Amino acid sequence: MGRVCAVVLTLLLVGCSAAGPSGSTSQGGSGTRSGSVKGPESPSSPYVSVAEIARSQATTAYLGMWRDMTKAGTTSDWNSPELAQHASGDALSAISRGLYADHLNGLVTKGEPKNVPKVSSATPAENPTTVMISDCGDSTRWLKYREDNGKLADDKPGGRQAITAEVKRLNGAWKVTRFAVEAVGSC
Amino acid sequence: MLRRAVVAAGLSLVIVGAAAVPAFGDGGWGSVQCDQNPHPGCELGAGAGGGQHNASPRRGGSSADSGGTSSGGGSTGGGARDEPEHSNPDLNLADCSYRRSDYKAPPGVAQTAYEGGQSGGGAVVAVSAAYFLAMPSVVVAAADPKPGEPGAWYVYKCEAGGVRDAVYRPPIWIPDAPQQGGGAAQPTPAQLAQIARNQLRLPTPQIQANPIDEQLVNLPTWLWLAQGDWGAVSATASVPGVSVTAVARPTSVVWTMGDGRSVRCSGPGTPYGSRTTPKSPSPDCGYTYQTSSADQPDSAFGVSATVHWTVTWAGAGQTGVFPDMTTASNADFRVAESQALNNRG
Repeated sequence: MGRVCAVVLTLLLVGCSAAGPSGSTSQGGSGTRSGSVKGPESPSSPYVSVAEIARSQATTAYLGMWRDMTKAGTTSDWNSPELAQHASGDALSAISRGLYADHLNGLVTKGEPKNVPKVSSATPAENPTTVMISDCGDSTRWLKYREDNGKLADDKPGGRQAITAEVKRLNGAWKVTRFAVEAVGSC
Repeated sequence: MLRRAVVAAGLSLVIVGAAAVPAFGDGGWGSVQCDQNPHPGCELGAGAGGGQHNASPRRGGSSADSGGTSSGGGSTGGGARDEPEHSNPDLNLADCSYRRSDYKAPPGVAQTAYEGGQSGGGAVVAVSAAYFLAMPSVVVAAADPKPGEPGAWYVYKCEAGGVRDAVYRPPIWIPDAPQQGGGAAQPTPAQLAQIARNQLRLPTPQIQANPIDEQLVNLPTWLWLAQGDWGAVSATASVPGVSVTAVARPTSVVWTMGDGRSVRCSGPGTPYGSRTTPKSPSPDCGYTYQTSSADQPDSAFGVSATVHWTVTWAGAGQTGVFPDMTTASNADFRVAESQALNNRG
């Protein structure tokens, strides 16, 4: 029972501290917190919230990346500056090049994916800068259509697809740096 | 040249068996999906359970050898049709035509190179884009634009097994040849050969042996690879006016038997036939265990078969040789004492 209470408290604290700096960058908050961490092994300590914040922000960035891609995909705007909001490096390149191919092929994407991301690891433990996420995305209602006549690009349905992503804190902002999306039916 | 073309045509038939898939999926992730358009990052998903590079020895299991120049069929779960991750039979990449595109990489692509912290200064250097055309478990960088390197992003369509892409695939970077005489910029044959090499889809060897379930000390073990694992594989990359074909040929297979010894065979080995007497050795690829595997972990020897491939290319009046490639599989062999059989004489 005591443990459950501690967890609840932790979440409340996270809520407070995230709201405090009133911006998406709670790095300042993280810094002061990590300074007061007593020791690495104190799982019931409320101060693990630094890691919780990191996990939460990384997950937000991950979902943001697919939201950005979903939006750009409606016109296959491979050059949209919004794509770089939550993605960087190889992840941004893959999305941009993929949308370029869609654009060239006269395809656009409509609808939206469903995601259920889970943090599989966060390192370093006390103040994570790299968070790995695993997801079972669903593209059933996020399909490609022909731009010219609005018809479905093909008769293959989407489906559940295993996704692994690496999210890093880069210059204070969390961005997805790499991802792998597996075949339909992989989760 | 003509003869080469004929050879290439003959060879490409060999890989027909490695089925071709239509280029694009369907769902919104289709153009970034690893089984269709592998890209840097796909290695994260290889073996979803944890990206093990050296798959623990298991019967029929396989893994592409991690030697620097390795390549392979890519399935980390040998022959497991029901494994979702990267069990894609093939990426329809035997014969690809490239054309220059107007694609430009967004600025943020280079950012990861600067994650060390200092964001100032010359962030517009190279696009850190290494494009893996191979399966994630056997990643090969097709091209890695260097700072200031002249070149272009090419889109491409491929054909394999009689199926041609209906749509273009996402662009990859190909450097230009040094400009001479004001002609149109295009890659050198050697650069194109590198692209062709990365398109090669080598089959992952499937280990076969007799006796099937359990080897016996002093009884000859026959070793061979499943049919279809042994034959030349080719891939062609072309831009308007230049076409280059890379050909991989298997030259030998090295079997490490798990007891400290290994056997090198110059061919796939002879399948054990039902009419063969158990005590006769394989004519070309066999081994006889001298000790039982009882003391080994899981009471089995970890056996691996590594196929060595020579890789050559030809096109545009030039030829060349690439470093060898390897593909490999692992299996567990249980070896039991067999007094009864030995004594029967």
